[in-house]
Amino acid sequence: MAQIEWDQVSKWFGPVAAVRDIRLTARDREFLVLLGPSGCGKTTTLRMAAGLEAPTAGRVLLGARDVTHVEPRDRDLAMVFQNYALYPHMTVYDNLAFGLKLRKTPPANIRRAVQDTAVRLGLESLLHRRPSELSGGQRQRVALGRAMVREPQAFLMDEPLSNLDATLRAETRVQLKALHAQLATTVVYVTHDQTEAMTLATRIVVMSGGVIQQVDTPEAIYDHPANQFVATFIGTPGMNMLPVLWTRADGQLAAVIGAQRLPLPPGLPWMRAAASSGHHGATLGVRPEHLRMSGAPDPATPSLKARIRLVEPMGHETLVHLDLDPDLTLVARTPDRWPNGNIPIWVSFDPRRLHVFDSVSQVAYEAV
Amino acid sequence: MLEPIPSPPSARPLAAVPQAHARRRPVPLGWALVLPALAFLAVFTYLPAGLVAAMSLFHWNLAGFGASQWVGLHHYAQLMNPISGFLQSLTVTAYYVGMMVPLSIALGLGLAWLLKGRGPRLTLWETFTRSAVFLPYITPAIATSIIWIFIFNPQFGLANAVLTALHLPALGWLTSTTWALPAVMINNLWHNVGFMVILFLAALSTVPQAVVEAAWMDGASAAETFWHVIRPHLSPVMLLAVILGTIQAMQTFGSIYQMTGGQFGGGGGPLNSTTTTAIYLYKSAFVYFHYGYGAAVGVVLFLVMLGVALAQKQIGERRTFYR
Ligand SMILES: Nc1ncnc2c1ncn2[C@@H]1O[C@H](COP(=O)(O)OP(=O)(O)O)[C@@H](O)[C@H]1O
Ligand SMILES: [Mg+2]
Repeated sequence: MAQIEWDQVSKWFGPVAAVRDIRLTARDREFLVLLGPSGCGKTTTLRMAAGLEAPTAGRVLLGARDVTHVEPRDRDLAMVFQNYALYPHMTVYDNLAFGLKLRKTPPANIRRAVQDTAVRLGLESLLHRRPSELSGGQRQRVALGRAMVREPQAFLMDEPLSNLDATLRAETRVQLKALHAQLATTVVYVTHDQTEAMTLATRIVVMSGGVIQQVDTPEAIYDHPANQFVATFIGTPGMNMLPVLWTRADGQLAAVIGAQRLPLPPGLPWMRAAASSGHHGATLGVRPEHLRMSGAPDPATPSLKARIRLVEPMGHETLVHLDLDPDLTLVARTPDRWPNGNIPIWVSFDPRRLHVFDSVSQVAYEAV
Repeated sequence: MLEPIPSPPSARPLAAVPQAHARRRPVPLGWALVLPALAFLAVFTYLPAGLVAAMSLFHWNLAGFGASQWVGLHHYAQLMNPISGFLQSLTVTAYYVGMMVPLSIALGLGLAWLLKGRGPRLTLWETFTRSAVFLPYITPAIATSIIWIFIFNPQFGLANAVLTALHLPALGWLTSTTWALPAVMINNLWHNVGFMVILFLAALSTVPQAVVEAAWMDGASAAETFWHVIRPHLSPVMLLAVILGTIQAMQTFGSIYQMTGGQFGGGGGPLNSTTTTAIYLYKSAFVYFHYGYGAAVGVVLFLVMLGVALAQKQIGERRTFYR
């Protein structure tokens, strides 16, 4: 069974903790994406699964087998490197065949396996070229082919698309997804690109500072971020964050945002957790696409008064930057087009769309 | 209520960029720039080399061409006569070169492998060991050869002390026709290996770590990784090391001369067992004052070295991988 487990794994480079107490399982046939900003420990986590880096503490398991001290060559995993790391002195054919030759596979089988992989990845006409005679996209496919041809237990991929231009990256992303469906093999995939993570992943692991922030399906990560980091890291632009103080008016909870007051309907799922926290305030999060703007206040819906500071037309949508206060800003995402200029405006949103985070721990309040 | 605003007008295409004019090559300036170096080479290398070639055709008198007697190819005929000892010197040289080149490359590569940095930065220890290995190369061979004479002293030397401690028979070393040349080789391996280490350290540092890791992931053992992935990356430097090592070995003079008693008249002994062609040349010209003959030896040595280097390059390039 191709399951990879990190059991309380930590890795220190001298005084630097690259990864802290990782507990994670890549399930059989899953496409697990490690996502996070640069330097958060994704590569280190992946390399410890490969055996290229030894954990300072904890264990790595393949299925039920403890491989913490097993050489990379005895793990039967394949890795796709960020810069491909093809053998520059070998032809494409030999790059693909190398792993099979080392395993003393019969030559006829090697030929068939290389041929099959080449056909699958559209490399047939390139088999006699050296890597230096290939384009970036072709090299990337050779790197994938070299991993596939051996039929390993699992694939480890470290930002395999980051050296491609935007168009090719989008194409290859789709191919990768189709390939995973065909191969039905476990993939652990490292990226800092949330689009790749959202589109490819069975589950996403969001990391920051060497610590796992959240592990869940792409939808759940987007809809229910576990904390403020995940909420702002996922989504472009990220979730709007507003520090608020709680107040009560007519027995109803209201949030004080800057100089304004926003009444909230009773019975929202997070309210009891917020009350039991004992804090006087919290951080409200709302996604840019959930903000509604209008030129005039609507008496039926509570809204906040703001001014348009800047408009970024994107074609299919428009990003509107709003000032609530001089130091409180919001971004709204709308299919409508809005004029630039210092224009007064009213912003509202469905209160059920609100995310509320503890102002100290930055963790999302859950329904209790 | 605000109205959504219309889309912006589509952008106009950019004006075509004018093509750059083909650049003319300033030929006179180029020549002016290489002229000093060329003049230097001509005066101090090509001109003396030509003179030597001319000298080899004369029974040379130090007073110049006018006082010298034209002998044509007579010296070359003498060289080919076994009695002259020239052919034997070529055999000694071949033995010396044939041992030194593979040994110094193997030793150099092995040491480079041990000394190559393991971490992102060199540790103090790594810097120290690298310097220690390179140090002999920058000391004058004439000076360090004197130390080796002591080491190889049959009665009091370190070499025999070590052999005795290992329960091996002591050797005559520099007094033995069999062991004098190996003793010289040991000295020169020690002296020159630093150069090979530097070459191979540089070459090893060009092997991308990710490619090595890719081989591990592909299932290669340490030995398989070295043979199939690292060695091909080293091949251009390997060719360079073979050619430079050969030339260096063929030219070796000072250490042999010093260790075999050159300062007491001759060198190259005992019984010509260490008389390489370089020693033979020196003795012909400056011990026996047979300048024309020595010049002929020089010309032949030059041609042999040229031929060997060209052959190595021809054969080597076919097995070399350039990026
Ligand atoms: N070989 C190493 N030596 C020292 N520090 C390292 C090494 N590899 C990674 N680090 C450090 O560990 C942290 C995590 O690195 P990495 O796993 O490469 O992050 P990511 O892949 O998420 O960008 C970084 O702070 C990085 O500087
Ligand atoms: Mg990385």
